[in-house]
Amino acid sequence: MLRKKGMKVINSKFEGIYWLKKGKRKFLVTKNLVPGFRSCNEEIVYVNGREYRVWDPYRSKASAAIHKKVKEFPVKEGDLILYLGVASGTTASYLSDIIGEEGVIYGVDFSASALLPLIQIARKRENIVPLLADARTPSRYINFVEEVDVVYCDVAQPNPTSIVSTNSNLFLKESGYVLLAIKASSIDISKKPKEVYLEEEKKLKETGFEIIDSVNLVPYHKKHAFLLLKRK
Amino acid sequence: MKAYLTVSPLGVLAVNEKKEIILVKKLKGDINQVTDKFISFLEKRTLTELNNALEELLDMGYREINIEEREPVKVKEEIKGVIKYSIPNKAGLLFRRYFTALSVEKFGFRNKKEARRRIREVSIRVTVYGIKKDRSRKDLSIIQAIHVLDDLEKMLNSLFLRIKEWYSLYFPELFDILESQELIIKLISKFKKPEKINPQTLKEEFNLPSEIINKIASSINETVGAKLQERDSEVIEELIQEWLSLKKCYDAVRGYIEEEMPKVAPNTSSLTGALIAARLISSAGGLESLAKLPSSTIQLLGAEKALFRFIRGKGTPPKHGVIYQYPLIRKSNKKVRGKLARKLANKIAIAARIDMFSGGRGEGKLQEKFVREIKNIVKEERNESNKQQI
Repeated sequence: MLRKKGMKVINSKFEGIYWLKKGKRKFLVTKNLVPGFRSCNEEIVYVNGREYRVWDPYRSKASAAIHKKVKEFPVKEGDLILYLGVASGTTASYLSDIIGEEGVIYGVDFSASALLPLIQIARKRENIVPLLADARTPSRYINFVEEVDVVYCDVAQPNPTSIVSTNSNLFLKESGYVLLAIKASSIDISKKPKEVYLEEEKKLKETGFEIIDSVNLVPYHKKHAFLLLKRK
Repeated sequence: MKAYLTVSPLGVLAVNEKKEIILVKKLKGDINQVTDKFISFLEKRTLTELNNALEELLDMGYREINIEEREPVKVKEEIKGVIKYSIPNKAGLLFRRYFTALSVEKFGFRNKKEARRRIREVSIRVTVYGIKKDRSRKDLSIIQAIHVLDDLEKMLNSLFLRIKEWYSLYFPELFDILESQELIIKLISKFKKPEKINPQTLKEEFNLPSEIINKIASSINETVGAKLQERDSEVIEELIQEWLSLKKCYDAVRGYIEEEMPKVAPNTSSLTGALIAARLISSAGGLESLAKLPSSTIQLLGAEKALFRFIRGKGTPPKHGVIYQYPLIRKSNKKVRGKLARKLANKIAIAARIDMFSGGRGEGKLQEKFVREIKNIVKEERNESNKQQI
């Protein structure tokens, strides 16, 4: 547990995301949208009467990307997000803090058991829409989803590029961004992670994406990279 | 004239070629009714409002109606001819882009928040329904059972090992004479102390051949073991009772798997035996996943560690995973095991697909054929290897 004494919350580079400073240590935090409710056993701290949730980079690839100084993090208040591979909703709950009540997260995952905790979170957080479907077949959730500002994709599949591009074509606004977590060992276990990232980046460029930034998530997540994309 | 149509939890929306809205049908009823309607649309592909909309569009003179779905919806025969499917279509693009405005102006929600609440509530209920449906899959309980069975087996073995080492202080020869764990445990439980072992009872209650009884009797006299004290005997008896109750549990779980597997996957389990089939299903993550795997993957299910080690460039490729436990493979010559494993995996792939997708059809003759074929293969391979040896 973090002790209250000497804690200070300062703005980070990005909207809705803050650094909690305690001596030399600093933690990434978001304001809790549902005070008193812990979504994923995270640490909760109170500063100046506000409740903040600590965003652990070891548990969330988005947090790791911010720790590794990604250039931009395009999620802001009121945004609509299509989250492919939402799983138990750890990262989704922090995005839900950032977008606030006016935003919506459409969380897609095809594993029924992974979605169980998300259902509990979605019942408390009114901006999360859980969808039990395969991100490779958007026809199964097309009835529920609006056009979104951000497609966030974190799937352990061998073809993230094609998943991102079909979903972006259907659901992403012209000016929208794609956040893509790449798991090298799901794509090709025999190659070195860096080769896999380069190949995937090449594929993404060919499919019509512009790569704004790419960060390696070591040491928080081994063999993972995080890409920020925009449509050309 | 062409019309484009899309369905959502708000209702049905249709536009014409110029993206002008020509028809809106709200889903009627309270949230429960809407959810039920939507689930039946997703599952059975029928929706009253959609049928009404299609009929109205026909009346309006549209002769080609494009629906934003991938799987066909159920409609009357005479309408079928005019329907086409594509993702995305003009109606869907319009609906998703102008959701906020459309939900208020056309679907009569007070504001976008209320419309989104409708979407969210339906999605939560549909998802809960989906999870429930998924959890009622029979193969999931089989997977749980096989995990428990493997753990019980480990526990039984390690407990037996402890009992064996302890009892060896007093009568080590017993473990050289008898092999069956259950028999040894029952024997110790019956006589408690080595000197009390009675040849007469051994014959009557345990049905042992006289040769073995003689061996036991003579080794009691010559034993190098110490004398078993009353106190030690009591504690060992406790361990033995624990082992027996674990064994009872193990038998119950095993009986469950052997009873249920033929219902879940009749062809697969008659081909490989219930336990191996259950392990295959557990490694694949379900009968459906198993049925969708290529036979080359089935061959190596359970040998992932060796496989990935090989892919990373160390060691040799594995020949078999779970199916190594198949008696004909385990017992045969090392040289032909790879071939046998490949052929068995082929058959499993076929059997699993029949079980999953044609409701277990072909049960009976098919399984006999499989087994016969595999036995023939084994024979051939054996003959071949015999020839080579000569």
